[in-house]
Amino acid sequence: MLSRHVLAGVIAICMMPAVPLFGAESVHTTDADTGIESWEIHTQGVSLRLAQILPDQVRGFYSARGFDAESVELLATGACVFQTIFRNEFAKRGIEFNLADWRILTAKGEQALRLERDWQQEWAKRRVSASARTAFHFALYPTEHHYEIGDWNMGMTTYALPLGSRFDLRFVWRENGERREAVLHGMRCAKETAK
Amino acid sequence: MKPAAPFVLVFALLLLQVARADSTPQTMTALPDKPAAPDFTLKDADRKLHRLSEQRGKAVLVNFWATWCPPCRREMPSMQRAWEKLQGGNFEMYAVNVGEDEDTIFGFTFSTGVELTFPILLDRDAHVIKAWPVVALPTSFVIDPQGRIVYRAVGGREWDDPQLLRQIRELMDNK
Repeated sequence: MLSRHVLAGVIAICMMPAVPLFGAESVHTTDADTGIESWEIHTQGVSLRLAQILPDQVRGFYSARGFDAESVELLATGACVFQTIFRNEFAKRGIEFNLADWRILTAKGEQALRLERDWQQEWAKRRVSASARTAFHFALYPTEHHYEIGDWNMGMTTYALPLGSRFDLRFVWRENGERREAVLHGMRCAKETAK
Repeated sequence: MKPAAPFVLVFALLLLQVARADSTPQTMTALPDKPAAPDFTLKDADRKLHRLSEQRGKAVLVNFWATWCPPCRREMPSMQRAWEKLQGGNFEMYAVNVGEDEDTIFGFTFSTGVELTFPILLDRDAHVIKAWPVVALPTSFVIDPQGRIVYRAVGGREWDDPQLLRQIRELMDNK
């Protein structure tokens, strides 16, 4: 027969929310074919995944959306760009986030992400077309949002760092008004070529 | 029971936890205030006009998407499967493409390898999407037969998931 202690342990495990084991660690992977690196963390009911986007991929994407060559180059080499997936996996009371609260952590200190509004000011000065700016709006990760369980998005986040830079990312969200945060360690901006 | 059995059971339960964590919940969020769905009239790829308010009496899935959006592309085959299961009843589905032309959309639908038979509508100048509470793509809404938004889903879904189909069917039965 099972002892009381084992039974208590089994019941406790059954009551646990579905958290990936060892979940608070950043997991770093490198695609064997492309050399593109990605980082992922599952913590406190949310998950965050960032994958490098190569400058050539940025060029291809925004050229096809109607951006002029100079503006495309500003995006491709003036910032590093990551494909970003942030998901409410099981935070029952819903979560809210604002990318303005997220911070790049380097040996030199902290800095904010480059947000959509910063870029849109630049595009207005450069007279980028309305259709291209609309595509840009929906291609970037939303600056602010509210996610119920199961909600998520995929989009680009941008970082005003030189290509190849290393940094940690502190990401922040609120659950029922309470601030929560975690750090994705060891990020690296893409270089011109991944391999 | 042998002495090792409890530990085997505990290990099995831990594995079950991992498996549960890997499965993404297919959910829609109920909107308790049920706001009126903003009406629109849009052409599909065959230039046929579709007006949302003419679908009163039906449940309607309205999905905002673009071909360059990976989760939008990924959920399209499951939308087709849901469409095949629900069409013929009090159900309509509109996939509203944002900002792209017919050629781009045709190139995408051809590449899926799945024939998409539900209406794909063109919001070329992003005029319609601005009237809806959409922050990012894809975002989907389920409209009840009274023309109210009752569910929202942010991000891609497997639309033929039994739970999602059940929620839509309940609306279809509630004319």
